[in-house]
Amino acid sequence: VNQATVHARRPLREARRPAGPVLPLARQRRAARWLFLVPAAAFLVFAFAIPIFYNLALSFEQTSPATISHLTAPFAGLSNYTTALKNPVADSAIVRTFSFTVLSLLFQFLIGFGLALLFSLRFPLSRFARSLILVPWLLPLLVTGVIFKFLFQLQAGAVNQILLDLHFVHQPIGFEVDPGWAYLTVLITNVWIGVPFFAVLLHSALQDVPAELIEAAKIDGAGPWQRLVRIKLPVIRPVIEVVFVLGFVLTVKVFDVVIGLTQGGPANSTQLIATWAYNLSFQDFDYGAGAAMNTVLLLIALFAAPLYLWLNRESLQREGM
Amino acid sequence: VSANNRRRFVTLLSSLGALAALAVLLFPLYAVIVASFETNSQLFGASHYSFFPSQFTLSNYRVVLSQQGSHLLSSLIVAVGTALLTLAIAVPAAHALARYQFRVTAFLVGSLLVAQILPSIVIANSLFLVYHKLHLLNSYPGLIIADASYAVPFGILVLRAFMLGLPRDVIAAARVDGATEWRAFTHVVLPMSRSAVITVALFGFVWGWGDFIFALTMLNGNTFEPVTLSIYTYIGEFSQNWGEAMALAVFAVLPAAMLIIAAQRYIAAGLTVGSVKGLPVLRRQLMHKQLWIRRPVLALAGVFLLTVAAAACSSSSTAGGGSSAAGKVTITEFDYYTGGANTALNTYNAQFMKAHPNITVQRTTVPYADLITKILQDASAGDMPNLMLIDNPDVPEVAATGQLVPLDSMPGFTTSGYTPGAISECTYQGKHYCYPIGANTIGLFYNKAMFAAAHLTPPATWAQLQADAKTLTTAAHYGIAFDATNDEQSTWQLEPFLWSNGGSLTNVSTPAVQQALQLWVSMVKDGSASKSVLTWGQDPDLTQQFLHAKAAMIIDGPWIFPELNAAGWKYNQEYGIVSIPVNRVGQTLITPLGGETMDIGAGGSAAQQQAAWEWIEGLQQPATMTRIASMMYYLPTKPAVVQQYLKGGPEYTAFAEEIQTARPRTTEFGSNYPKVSQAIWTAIQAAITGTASPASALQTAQGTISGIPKLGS
Repeated sequence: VNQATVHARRPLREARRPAGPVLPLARQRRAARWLFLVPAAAFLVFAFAIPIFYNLALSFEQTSPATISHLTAPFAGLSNYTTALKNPVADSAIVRTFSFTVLSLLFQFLIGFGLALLFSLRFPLSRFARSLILVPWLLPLLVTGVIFKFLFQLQAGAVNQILLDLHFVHQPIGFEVDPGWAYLTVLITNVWIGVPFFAVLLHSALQDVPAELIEAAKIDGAGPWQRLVRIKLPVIRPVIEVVFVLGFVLTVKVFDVVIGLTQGGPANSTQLIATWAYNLSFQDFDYGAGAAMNTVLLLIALFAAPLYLWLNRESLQREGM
Repeated sequence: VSANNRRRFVTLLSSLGALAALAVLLFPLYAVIVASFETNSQLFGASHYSFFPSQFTLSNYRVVLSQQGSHLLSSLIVAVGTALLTLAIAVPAAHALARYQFRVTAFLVGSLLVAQILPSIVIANSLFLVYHKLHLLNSYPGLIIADASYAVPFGILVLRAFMLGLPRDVIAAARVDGATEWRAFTHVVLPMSRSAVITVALFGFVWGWGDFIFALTMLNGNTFEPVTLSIYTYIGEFSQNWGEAMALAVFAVLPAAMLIIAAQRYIAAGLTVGSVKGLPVLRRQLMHKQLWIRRPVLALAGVFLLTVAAAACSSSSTAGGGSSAAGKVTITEFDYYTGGANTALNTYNAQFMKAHPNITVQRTTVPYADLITKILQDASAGDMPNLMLIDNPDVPEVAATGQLVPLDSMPGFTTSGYTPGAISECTYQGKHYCYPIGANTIGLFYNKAMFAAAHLTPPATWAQLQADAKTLTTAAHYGIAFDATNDEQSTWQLEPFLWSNGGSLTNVSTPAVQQALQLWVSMVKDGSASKSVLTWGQDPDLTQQFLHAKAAMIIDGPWIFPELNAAGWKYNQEYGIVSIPVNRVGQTLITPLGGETMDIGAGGSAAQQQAAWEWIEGLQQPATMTRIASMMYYLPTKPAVVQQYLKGGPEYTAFAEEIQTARPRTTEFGSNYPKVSQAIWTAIQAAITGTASPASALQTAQGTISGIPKLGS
């Protein structure tokens, strides 16, 4: 069916029918459009809107295990926020979440971009490697945490064995029992998870850089480094921005990895906002304090929202916004 | 020629670089697969990690297949359910947003973008309470709805982006031909969007399969358990059982691996959504790949068949629910027992029901960490089980809800003839709420051969303990191991040291407590104890260290007897047990009192409460008490019964002495003990990691403890 037949037919049909039938068709159409949206709207309200607003309400309530069945609890003012934030563990968890996110993004980008450049070269294993590289990104995050817990063990751990065999160290490193190393271990794990995401997205962006541009630059005598900095990076900048925003969102809410790897320990040295909020709610049964911590996390995560929307402005503007 | 050579060189170099990157990225998976074929003694008996093990075993897979099949099936149900629900919601919505002009379109698309940003833990916290009210906890629909929150916003955005690229005139033509909106959608739009639909379904499946946050928060009972949750339970409860944990991980990883092989293009296409330039890429990748459909569908079918096969291999152990007939009483009973204690309780239930033909006991077991949550939830809902076995430090917290029946008024209730601790741990605000089912505490296990070789006798004081630990430390093993994990177990292990030294939980910033913590820190600092004490739980971690001769002494309790027996270790031959050493000779040893208590829930009928009381009373008969205690590796709670008990079990001698002066953990803080305990284990971890000195770590802990209300205030 091509455009011509469509245009040819329409007047015929409309001519054959009296003016009436057009109306039910239009009405049906108007009703149908909304019906298509009903399940999604209901789901968004139930799974996103209600939990977010309920979380906000909870953070101002004096909750206890005994209040679970009532959905609401006595008003508590700001006390959940003051007790939750006064705790030194919470403060360090907030600072740590920031540093963890920044360092994760930095290394995910550097390594991911390096791999993207590598894969844009032509060599026999390129496609094969590109498909395998996605595996880390698709594993259940908890499983990844558990696997790395196994690899980074103090006694008979694979990573320590490699370092010992290569004579980088003489004593095994307490990756999971030393606070500084534990933080680094979780960071390494999270970078391992995020690198494929960065690599695949940046690779597909690099593929979209027009070949003529590169050729023109070559003719003008630009070396590989200049072509990268002057041509490729500016062209794929929009993708880099979006990848950073998405990476930020994925990292700031990291939970499964920490639980699988260290459970926030030792000595709370790997506690992030999400894990600490979980502790408050589901270990101490203080849902109010947990909700207060969650609100902090929500505010930080929503930093990304305006940025993300702005980066997606083109697709939103298409709707005449 | 030189340009050609250079190109060849670059190709070689980049191939090598890619191989190296792949090796680093994929090594963890290799290690998992190798470990899944190794025995625990290969993994722990050896002091080296071996990259190419010399022998392989299938036993891990045998165990996992026989125990975890139903969990794999649960994961499959959740993953398929999530994929289907996501499609049911996302496909029509995407169609509407792509085809029609709404005034709210921009707002909706913006909301979907923002929804992708919201952290799941925030949703889980609120949804848990909402689900509690709606009775959706522990149900497949509840978990699937929650899991769909990962995929629905993504799904709508992907599908809409794809559908925007469909030729509009084709749909218009269908409408003109008289097709309804619905028909145009199902017969024209859907078939043309097949590949995008598959992308969304794949992501829904992968995210549903991999979910952990919602499974952890929404599932409290033993109704079902996806495989992510069972892996977590594995490392929690059997943290030295890596072989089986890794075999289970292989199963958990399998779907992702299969999908990568079969449907890499769809996954890569899905990834690019959300980037500005992503939409054209998505279309380019998906538009012309209709033929690719067979492979992902085959892969999904493969995952499905494998899981079902695994589930079929495993023996299903679902208990049939009994219904109560007229004139009969059915009582519900909750506990968290596994292993020997599990058998003991089944034995007693059978014996009890035989003696009381009109009473049926319906037993439910819940994982340890979940029992107290579940009971507190039930208490707040006024829907308590008739009988429950609560860990003794939790009794005041449950009693405080007013949902426990005081036993004082029960016919034949008495407090005489019991050890003092057995009565005080069940007392809350002057009323008695329970009897303990048995008692235990911790002592010092030592390796007799190592002590004999070093010409040492077991230590009685801290100075001797420290000196012996140092002497017994060699390249092959540590002198001592104890539990300094970030949970109640480490507080419980420090308590005998701090209490016997005159310390108290109400003020931990005192020299008495500092000295106790300093003792632990010193032993780690001088190398007598591994830094891994921070991650080693009492059982099986410490037990395994002891059995593999990696530690000359461990602090542990009688619950490890079954493992020692299974390994062929005999009391007074391979190992001995003495009381925990004290700081100075003459100090009274005070150890913490452990064990579960039997409590009756309010809310049942008078007949049910009476039946529950008869159940508890039955266990107070000396013969039954002895039998059940020995099956559970507990000490009886009546001194007269203990005398008899030791004749059959001399290995309990040290514990029986300790029990006489043992102290319930809730003496000072009642229902607030868990919070105090948390402050103390935080200090223990801070001091042992070296983040803070014992004095300053305890000062910080005291800052927290000062704000916790004491008993009765």
